[in-house]
Amino acid sequence: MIKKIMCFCGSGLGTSFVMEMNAKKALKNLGIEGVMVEHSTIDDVVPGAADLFICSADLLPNAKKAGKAIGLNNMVAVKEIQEKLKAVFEEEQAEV
Amino acid sequence: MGLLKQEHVQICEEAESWQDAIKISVLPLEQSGYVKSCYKDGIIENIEKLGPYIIIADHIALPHARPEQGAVKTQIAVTLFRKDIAFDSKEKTARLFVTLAAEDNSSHLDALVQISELLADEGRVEEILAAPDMQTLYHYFEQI
Repeated sequence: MIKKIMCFCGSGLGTSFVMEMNAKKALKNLGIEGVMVEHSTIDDVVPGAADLFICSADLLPNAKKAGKAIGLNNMVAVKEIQEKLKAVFEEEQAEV
Repeated sequence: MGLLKQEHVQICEEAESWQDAIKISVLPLEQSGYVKSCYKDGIIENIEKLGPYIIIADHIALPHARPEQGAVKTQIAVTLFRKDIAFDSKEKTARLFVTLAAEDNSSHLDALVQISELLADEGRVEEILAAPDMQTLYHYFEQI
């Protein structure tokens, strides 16, 4: 079950916050409730820190070491994050 | 909000390297004392370490580093390059550089929300990239 999502960027200051905001919007659009979303720095990306990590496409290899992850090319628009979150949650449903 | 001053908007033809582009994009904030001279080095070091994570969408870079890396006061600067700036890894390029200096982890968030909302519209991004002069470029960002 994905209960906690951590968005992160290199500095944990700018882009991660924008991703957090868009992830929340996307979850709302998808009608998914009860998921905590937070933003942080790459230093906090360790196994168990979250059920799903979201970052820029460049940082995806780092994120995958810690667990399930989504890499984004566009971090300001909701569209891409929403499509990728939808796929992850559908996959999870299929596994149950 | 008043986080962007008209004199912090610039249009450049090109840069020799992405490092050069970062230096150019930080310069208006450095000259006005919003960041220390080490701020640009912090951004460049972060990119060398982590890759071009500052590219937040096609054509758009948001150069920024942590407050303790030399940000003095919260402010943004906007630089538009006419030619693509290439980064080392993959085929990532950017032309619009929205440089952010944040004095702490919270004060800049309102500005970020507005920057991202402005740049989430791909049609508007196309218009901004085609801005003919600095006045037009400033106009897109002046509400931030």
